[in-house]
Amino acid sequence: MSQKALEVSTPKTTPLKQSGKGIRTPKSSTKSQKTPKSGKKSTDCTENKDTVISTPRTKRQVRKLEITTPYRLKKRNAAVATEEQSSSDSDVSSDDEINSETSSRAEDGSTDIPAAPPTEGGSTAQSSSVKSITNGVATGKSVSSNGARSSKSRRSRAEPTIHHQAEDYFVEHGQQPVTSDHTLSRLDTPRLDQEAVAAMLHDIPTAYSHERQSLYEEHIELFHRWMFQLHNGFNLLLHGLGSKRQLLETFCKSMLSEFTHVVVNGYFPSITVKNILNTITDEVLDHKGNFRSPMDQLDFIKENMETQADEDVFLILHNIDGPMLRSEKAQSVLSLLAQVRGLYIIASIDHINAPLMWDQTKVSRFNWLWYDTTTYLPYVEETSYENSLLVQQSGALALSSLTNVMQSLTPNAKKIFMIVVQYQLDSQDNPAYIGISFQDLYQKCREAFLVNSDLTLKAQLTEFRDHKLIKSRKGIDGIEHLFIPLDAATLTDFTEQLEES
Amino acid sequence: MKYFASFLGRYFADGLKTNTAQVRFDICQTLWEDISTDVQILQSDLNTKIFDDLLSFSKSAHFNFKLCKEGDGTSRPIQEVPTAALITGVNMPDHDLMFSNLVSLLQERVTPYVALLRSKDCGTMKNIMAKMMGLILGTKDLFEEDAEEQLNVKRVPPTLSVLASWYASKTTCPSPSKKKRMSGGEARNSGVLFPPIVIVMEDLEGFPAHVVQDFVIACSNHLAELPIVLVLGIATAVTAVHRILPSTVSALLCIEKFQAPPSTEYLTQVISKVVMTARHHFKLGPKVFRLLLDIFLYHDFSVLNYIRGLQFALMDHFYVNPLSALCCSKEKAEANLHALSAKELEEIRKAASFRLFVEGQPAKAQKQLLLDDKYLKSAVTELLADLYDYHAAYFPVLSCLFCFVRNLPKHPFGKQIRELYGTNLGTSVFDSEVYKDSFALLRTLSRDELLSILGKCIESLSETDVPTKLDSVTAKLKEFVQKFKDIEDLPQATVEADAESNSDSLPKRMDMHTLRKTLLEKKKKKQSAYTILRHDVINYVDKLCRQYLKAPKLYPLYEIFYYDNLGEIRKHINGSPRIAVQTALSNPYHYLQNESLHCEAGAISPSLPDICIVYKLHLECGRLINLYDWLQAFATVIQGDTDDDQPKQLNKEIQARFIRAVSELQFLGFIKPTKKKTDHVARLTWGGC
Repeated sequence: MSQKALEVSTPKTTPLKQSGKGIRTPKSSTKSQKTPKSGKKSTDCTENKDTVISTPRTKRQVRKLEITTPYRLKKRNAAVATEEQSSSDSDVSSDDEINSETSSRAEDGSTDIPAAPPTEGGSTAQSSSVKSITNGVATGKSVSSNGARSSKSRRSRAEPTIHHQAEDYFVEHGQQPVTSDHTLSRLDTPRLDQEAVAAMLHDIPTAYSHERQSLYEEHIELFHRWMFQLHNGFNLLLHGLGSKRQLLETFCKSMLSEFTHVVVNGYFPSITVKNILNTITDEVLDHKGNFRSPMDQLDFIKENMETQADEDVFLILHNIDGPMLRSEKAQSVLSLLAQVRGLYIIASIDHINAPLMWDQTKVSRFNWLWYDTTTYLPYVEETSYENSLLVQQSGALALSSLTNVMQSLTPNAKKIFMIVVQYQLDSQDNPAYIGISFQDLYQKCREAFLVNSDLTLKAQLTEFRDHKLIKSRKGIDGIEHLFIPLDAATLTDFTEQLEES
Repeated sequence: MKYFASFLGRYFADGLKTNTAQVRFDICQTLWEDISTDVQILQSDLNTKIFDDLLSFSKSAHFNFKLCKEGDGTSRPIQEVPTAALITGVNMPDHDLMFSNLVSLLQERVTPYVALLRSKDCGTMKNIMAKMMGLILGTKDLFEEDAEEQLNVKRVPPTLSVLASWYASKTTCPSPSKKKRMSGGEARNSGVLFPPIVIVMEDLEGFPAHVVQDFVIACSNHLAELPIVLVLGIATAVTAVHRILPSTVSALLCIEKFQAPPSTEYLTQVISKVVMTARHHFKLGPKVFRLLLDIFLYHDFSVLNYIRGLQFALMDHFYVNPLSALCCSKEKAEANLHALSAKELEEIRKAASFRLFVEGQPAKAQKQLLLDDKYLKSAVTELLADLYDYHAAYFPVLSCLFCFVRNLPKHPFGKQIRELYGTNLGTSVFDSEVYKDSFALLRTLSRDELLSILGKCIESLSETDVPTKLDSVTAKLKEFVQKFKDIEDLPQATVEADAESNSDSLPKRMDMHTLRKTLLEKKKKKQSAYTILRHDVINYVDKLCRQYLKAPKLYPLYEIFYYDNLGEIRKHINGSPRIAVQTALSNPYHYLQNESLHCEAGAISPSLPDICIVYKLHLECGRLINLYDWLQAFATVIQGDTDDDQPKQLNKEIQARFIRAVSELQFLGFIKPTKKKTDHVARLTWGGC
């Protein structure tokens, strides 16, 4: 944890934040509150001083004054002090604790506002009061070895950034967001469609192609190492900005041409874990037949791979964090798959919160080695399935939403929908096909005893339309034609999935 | 598997393009095999005690079990299911191994009927029953060789009554053949007529509460016909049972608690047997040692992961470090050394510690070391020999020192020997203030304490495979002990002698100066024989430490054995994807080394990649971001400020670039579409770079 936090703090953070928002204000106010407090303390303590504090302390008090000096320096002094005294004097350690605490408090405000220097008496009063509490308990804990101490100091140095983040969030959510009322309709072309965007981007030369290339080659040099590590039972997880598709494809070509490998496009909106398992059982292990549950299938794969098959299988998973694989269940199946001996996973993630998919157990099952393979390549394939905000909505409808809506329909409604699906699939070769006409559909439904009047059918269709399952357009003859805004491949997937369940 | 393995050496070699690759690869493989065998042995030894207890518990739980007829069942009071609550600790990843060991032990020694249930396949009552029946009925049965019954296991309705009748049929009609087979040297000890049915739930907390409740009730109802024993694996605390089960249900259980040894104990053993030993030549450097320990203590408590970290360090060491060809046993290393080519010898010359060593040599030797390959080889052989001796003596002496300092007040060197080791890996421990202070404290030890410490030292020196060089140390320590025993009756004598001399030697008259002198001398003399001896002992130990416990990096060529590449291991074991993405977005120069990407803080230069510009602009926004304004800002950055006031005619190309950048940000999870306001997106991250 502490290490991660450390890395966040690139030098750029602070200035950017400072100029952006007035976040600093509340903090400086707390600072000013603190000053009188410490002043009060000091008066308290001058009374006590003569009575309580004995002479040998003075040496240490001199050090306390350094609280105004820059943080690092202080830190070092404190460390030196620990080394000097920790074993000779029993309460030094608790004293030191205070020392570092005060200094870290001074730090998490800001370094440019000097902290009010507590007087000698102030700090001693604090330390002596704490001492009285901790002395009894602390003996065991206080010297929890250099290790604990250093990790603590690391954490305290990283603290400001963490503080920042939390504060940012609350500042933003405490007030109404202020944005202008401009909308995209002010543009000449509010929305471009997908092809136009793709075509236009195709013509733009990529910037820094030289640097990108050298970055890419750096990653390619790792391939041999990857193979070595894969063999030793680790699985690889690639992360970093930029599409990693190309890299993984190159990897397949140059390294895996002699091995069986399965490539899975996790970003594909209709991929399911079942597909992945089926590919392995059907195509790699040549198994005919069905399984009752994914768990059964897993057991089968495990047994086959570990006892019989003597070939290794490499599973290339583009975007293991794809929308359909994100579920807990999918990930746990994948993690169990990762445990199978002779099956190696090379996966990539892009979503910044992707690691949250895995709990302790899953991470351990996956046994990842993380590789930062930043490529800066555009996510062309990966984002093409996304309903981007600025792109003309082609009405594309994800398979996932289709299945979800289907589950909540009545049996009759399902059958009606399946008629439309079937009709569309049957006529997919016909380029002039514009959809099933309402009359045809009504006829078919009547034949199947699904509806008894065109009113009921209309009611049903309204429901479909509300869920964006179907769309309608007028033919040349003015008759309404109904169609499902999905391509044939997805529809086939959908029917297969439905048959299975 | 075999196929891939045959390629493996090639990857290693191709990736490295040096001819030591094969050597390094072989050493790496053998070393890792050794280590993993050691670890496995440790693992199986570790749980022996708790498993023995568990086995005897499950054996004796149904000691008086008799199959009863239908009528008898009603007369019995409600039965309590004998239950073992196995507290396993929070290190979930290690549990798989532990439970599979347990199950195989149970099957070997107690009963063939064992079912290991995991929450992942027990979502409903039906699943749990089916799974259990499958496991119990499906066990390889030595009594029955009817294939038919095995086949239709899945079709049998999964209920406990079915199981009961099956169990009755198994046990009540002991066929002669069964007896014959049993006498025929069966591995499992099923001398009992009614072997219990043990149901192990690996992760109780993961089971749905209502399923466990129903299951327990069902079990208790059938207790008359089935000798069921439950073993509940609990990762948190026994209270978990009561949280999951209401008192009416938990009243049906007769729970006995078994506490598995905590994983920290296991880790201690792994470290002392695998990491802190001269047996395995590969060593972790101070930073990596600490990092792996930190990951264990602050992240997961999983020994499995610790060992994986160790494995990774090992692999990386042999892959990256050209000197690692010498990281093996002494004889082998010498052979490898002689096989080295001039190019690889150059690598040795490049090693930082070796350069330091060369600088310390007289001018002539320096020249020879740097130019004469033969001379270099002989010098390296000597240095290697030193290192082997050093390692051989290091660990016994370290454990001696630990015997002395472990019980000091406030544990200046930690409570575990690994902490002492970790400190000493970085800097020689005897240079530190803490060391001085502790030895000052040691000089005040009482006789009993000192004797027991010495005893422990001698013990630790004799138990490990201690090199002969340290025999003298053992002898010396024994001598000390003997001396202590000798003076046991002496102290009184000396005191008396002192007293006598006191009275004798004080002359009646002397001047102030001489009086003070004599008194001071007396005072010194007053040191009893014990004090003197104690002084000797401590000095001896001090000398020992200074001789043997130098920090490894003071030795030339320590790089051969020590892996201390902190950055590498942290990056790969404990990756931080989000930071990588945010760095790439906010500071592209980090990845793309192009001077034009340098920009001063806060400024957004048009030379940045599109996505970086869009990202930086989004950082300036609040909770919601207006797409139109965002696009305008983007265009301004790209095109620069044009003076004309009229809204700029937006280039379609810019719009397309913007669209791509935004959809990529959405893909990465920085923003998401929102319905709160038209043409707005919501920002999802706060802070960061």
